[in-house]
Amino acid sequence: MKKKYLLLIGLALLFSTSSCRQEQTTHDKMTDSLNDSTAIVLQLRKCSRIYSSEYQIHKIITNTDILKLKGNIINQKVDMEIPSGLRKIAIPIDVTIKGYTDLALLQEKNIKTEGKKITIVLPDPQFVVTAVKIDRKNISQISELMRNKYQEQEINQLTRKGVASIYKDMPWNEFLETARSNAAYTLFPILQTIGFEEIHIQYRDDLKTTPKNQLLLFKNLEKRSK
Amino acid sequence: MKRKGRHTLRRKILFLLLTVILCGGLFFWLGNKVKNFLKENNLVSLSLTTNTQMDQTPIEISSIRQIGQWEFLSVQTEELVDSTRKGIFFDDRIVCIYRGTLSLGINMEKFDKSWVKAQSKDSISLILPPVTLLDQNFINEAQTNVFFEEGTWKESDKERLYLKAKRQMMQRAFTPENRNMAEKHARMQITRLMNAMGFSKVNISFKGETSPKQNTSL
Repeated sequence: MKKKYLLLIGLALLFSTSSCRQEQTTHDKMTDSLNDSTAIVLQLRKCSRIYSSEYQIHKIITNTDILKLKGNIINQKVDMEIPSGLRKIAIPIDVTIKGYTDLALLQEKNIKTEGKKITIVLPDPQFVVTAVKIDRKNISQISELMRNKYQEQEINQLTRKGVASIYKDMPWNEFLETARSNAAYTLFPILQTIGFEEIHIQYRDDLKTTPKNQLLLFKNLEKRSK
Repeated sequence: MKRKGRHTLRRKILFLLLTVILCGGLFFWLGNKVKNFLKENNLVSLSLTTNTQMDQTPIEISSIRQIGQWEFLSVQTEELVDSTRKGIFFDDRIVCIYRGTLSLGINMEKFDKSWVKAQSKDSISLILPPVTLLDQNFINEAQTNVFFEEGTWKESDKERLYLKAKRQMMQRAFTPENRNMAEKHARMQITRLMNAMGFSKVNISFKGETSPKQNTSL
């Protein structure tokens, strides 16, 4: 009789462990990824950049999320909205973009002086996103009975997509021009005070022929340091 | 007689328990098999879907401003901040990792003639303002990682977390050591620039500095 019970218990355990195996693997993977992201980094980079232009961009990111049942049942397509499964959000964000001239790239051959005359050929202006701020006071969201409110993780993911979408909508040609002239305006009074009377600040001649995507070095903050 | 009755009852309970466990296991096993069969033959495949894509909205350029910030040291940092709220049964908790880059350098917008202390044909002496944090707005919230979130958090709570991260980042990155490093690099870079402009002897000091470095040249 005892042997029978033992056999039954063994069988029951076998079934239950086989059904749990997949879940355990997923859990382990999740723990690993969480452990990786807890590392705190402090990276220092010496540089010599003159930031000459600052652009403040405002955007309202919106998302309409409807809960749907999709798939097929015996070759019949199913695509139906779940009642009370709607939620919406509007996230206003402010993005700061700065145009800079990297003086570390300025070589001796780019500076020519003749008495009181100076000619400087500056490197191409570049741009970087220096800050992104979510306007928390003005976030607006609704969620129906079947849905949860937007979690902070989801708000951040939408913000990331919103910032990425900004790049293609910007008037880059105008930004290039303002970055160039502002860099010259920043250097001009310094050179004048040093004693130069005739000041020429130039850029590369082939700037206009260079593809714009090579000049606009948009990088997120992790990639800012080379 | 009484002992025999108790023994029978115990056996019945044990048998019932084992039957329940066995049935449960069989039920899960069969369910899994049926699910796999339906999936493999593409007879039933249903899933709940949500939309994580954002809608198309325009951008607005709020301002274009001329600035003059000469950056000599960039400090890229991450800050882990958390908040816990006591509940009756469970506590709410949120843990976020904020990312930001702090720029240390000289604000050229304040430039005036007093910066150039003395000058001759091949030598120049400059007194620069102290190295400062060039922009107070340095966190990229698009890069924030929500490490853990449990419970309902108001936007004002999240704003407080952001401010806490900002304060801690400034404390960690805007240190006297980093300011010194930025000043040292500024000396090197400006001297290089002045050398290229024809000044062979360059003296650079910073306002408020106790021991100014003299005769810096490359």
